[in-house]
Amino acid sequence: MELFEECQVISSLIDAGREQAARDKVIELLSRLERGANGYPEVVNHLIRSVGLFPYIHAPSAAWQDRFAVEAFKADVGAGKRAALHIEQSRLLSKLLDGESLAVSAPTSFGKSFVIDALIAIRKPARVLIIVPTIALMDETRRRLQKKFARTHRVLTATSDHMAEGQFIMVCPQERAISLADQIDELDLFVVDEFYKASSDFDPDRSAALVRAIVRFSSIARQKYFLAPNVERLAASPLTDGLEFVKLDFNTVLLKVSNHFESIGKDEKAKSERLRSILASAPGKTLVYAGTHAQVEAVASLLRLWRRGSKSELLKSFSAWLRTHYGAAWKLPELVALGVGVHNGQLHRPLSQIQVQLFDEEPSMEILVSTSSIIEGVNTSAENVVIWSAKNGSGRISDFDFRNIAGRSGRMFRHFVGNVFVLDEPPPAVETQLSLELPECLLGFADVDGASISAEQREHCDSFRGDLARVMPTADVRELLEGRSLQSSDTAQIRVIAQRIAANPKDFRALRFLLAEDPERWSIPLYRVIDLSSSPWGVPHNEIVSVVKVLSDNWTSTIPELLERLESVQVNVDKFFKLERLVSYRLASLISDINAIHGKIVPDRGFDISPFSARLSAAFLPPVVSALEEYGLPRMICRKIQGVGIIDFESKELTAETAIAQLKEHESNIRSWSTFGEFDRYLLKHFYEGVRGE
Amino acid sequence: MGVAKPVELQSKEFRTQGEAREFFSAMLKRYKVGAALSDEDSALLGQLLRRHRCYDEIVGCGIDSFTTTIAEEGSKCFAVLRDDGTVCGFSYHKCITRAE
Repeated sequence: MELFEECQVISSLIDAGREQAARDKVIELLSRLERGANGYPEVVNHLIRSVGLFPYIHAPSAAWQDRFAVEAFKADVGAGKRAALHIEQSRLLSKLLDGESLAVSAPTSFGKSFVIDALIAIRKPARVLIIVPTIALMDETRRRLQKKFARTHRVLTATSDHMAEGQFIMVCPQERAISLADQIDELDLFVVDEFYKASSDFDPDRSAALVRAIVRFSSIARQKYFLAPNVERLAASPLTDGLEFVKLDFNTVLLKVSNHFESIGKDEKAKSERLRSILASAPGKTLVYAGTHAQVEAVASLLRLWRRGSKSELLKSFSAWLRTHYGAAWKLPELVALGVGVHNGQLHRPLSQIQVQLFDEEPSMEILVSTSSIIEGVNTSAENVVIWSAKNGSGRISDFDFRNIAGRSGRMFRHFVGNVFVLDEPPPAVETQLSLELPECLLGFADVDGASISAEQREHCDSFRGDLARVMPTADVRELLEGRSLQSSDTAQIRVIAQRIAANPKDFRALRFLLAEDPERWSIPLYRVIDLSSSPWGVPHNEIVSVVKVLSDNWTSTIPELLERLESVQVNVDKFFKLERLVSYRLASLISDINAIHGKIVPDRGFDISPFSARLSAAFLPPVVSALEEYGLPRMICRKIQGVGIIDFESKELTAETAIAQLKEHESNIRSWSTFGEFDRYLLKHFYEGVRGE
Repeated sequence: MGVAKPVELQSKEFRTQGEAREFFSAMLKRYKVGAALSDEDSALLGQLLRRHRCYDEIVGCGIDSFTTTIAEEGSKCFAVLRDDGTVCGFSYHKCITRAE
């Protein structure tokens, strides 16, 4: 079709009031048009304006009326930059600037986060809390905001000694936010990204903590902005009181979905062949959603057969770096050398971050194979998404997840059209109605006392508090439930701990051995603690105990050395990642809660194991080193810096903030050290870029 | 047919070693690795342990409590949690038979 005819079709769609169809056609047209030095033909710019996609207008080649429209829709988006918003972003921003609190559902490519930046830049709220679902998303958000707002706000991801002073933007997951609640008295803006995760239908394990955070911070926030993709309706609930639900279908990229699953059926060989032909023919980068670890492995095996070694020196050095630091037996170094990355929620954080970065920036990193970790809003610039398996770790994915995964393809300004290849039968399409409720497991925490609850729920609170009061003084019950000493958001778990300790207090005398220097003395108390969990661990308990003991040398030993010591319990590097995460989060939290409750039930016990849970929560690394991994700086690099002696990461006085200040101070010195290899330098560059303002 | 060898503990008597083995095997099965034994079971196990030829070595600096652990060959066994936090597994079979 000639350009003129295409424009006529689009124009007719606009006249007929079919804006979305017109917008899709415009996006499709833009994907085919090469924008040369002269920009777009005037008529195309005009059509872009007519469908509200102002950011896509090429101002120099547009008519003055269209240029004027672009200017009118420009807003300060931080760091003094003005950028055009599309029409729905602009409407949304306008409501927020009027002070309204909103719960917004909009497609993945809408640019919901961009609106946060504009709101902060224009309204300049002094105290901002942004809750994100994962540490990966936390770092991505922190990096974006640090660049834009470092001059006006302290962009934080953890507690700071000077929280009360000056303006801050705190970005963190819900659990960390709860632990900070006592340090934040008021908020000017409270943002919850991916707020659908407050429903147990979407996140059974962590929804309660998110609800708890929402209840706690909503009560002190002047304005709220909750974001989610693809939610059709939001049921009325006390948790969303005062929020206007805004459903927007405005898309800025076009998804082209091609279904292959019907012709493939159950034929695994045909599926593999189809994947091979897609990868060979689809232009640009491809994200392969494999769903489970087993399927990631299956896809990786195929890619190892099909792909030739990358010529990229950067990927070669990354591969060598991985072999050195994680051992030659691991499969990731081989895949990286083939231009393939792997994304899952268990890898050491700098490894996930750097692979996403390479996928975005390094032409030779062409494929990223992922588990469900990619659903949770990690932004990549994949032109294509292959849905290899419509499953996740716990069964078949929902239609909601399916749309989220598909939405990872295409990206504003980079790929107008995202191609989605479906190789496994997708779930039936359903409209997502979100209903946020106060879960039973929170009833009893002081945080939710302010929420409006039914008489039945009140009875539940009283029953829980009564059970605790039977085993400890009432004042201690109050202190436990009002303070921040408990990390769990599950009253059932707290009740189990309290009742088991009270029934057999002498069984828990052994907890004191967790303070012993010799890790061999930790086994029995660890088994007893592990057994107090009210939900299964998913791995044999002896593996957990073995990993904790071996991890005690995490700072002084290399990972291949640790793995060698774990050979007897068949813990390989992949399992090591999983177990390290499990013990440093779940087990450390459980031990911390057991310690707090045990101290109340047996006040004269004569010991306190909080130093052990603190060490475990950092996986026995110096706490600052563990925190810096969230910023993308691997422990191996910190160890080298420690070795040279210019920064003492083991110092108890050092915080992440002061460590970053020292790292910045010595930047040119550190980056020029001959002790660092090529990939160390790349990692340092990535780290420094993320802690600098513009 | 061999003569039945009774196993006499301070508070319990088994007519044969087989009967004692059956009793302590069932006890071992009741506990997860690392669990604390009940007072009653601890008392009986303490009496049984006295029959072990390496009793002093096993007890070491003193018994905090009885528990179970994983033996070197990978199977579960009874153990002493000593006062210093170290753990020493032992075989109830050896206690019953008084073998080396």
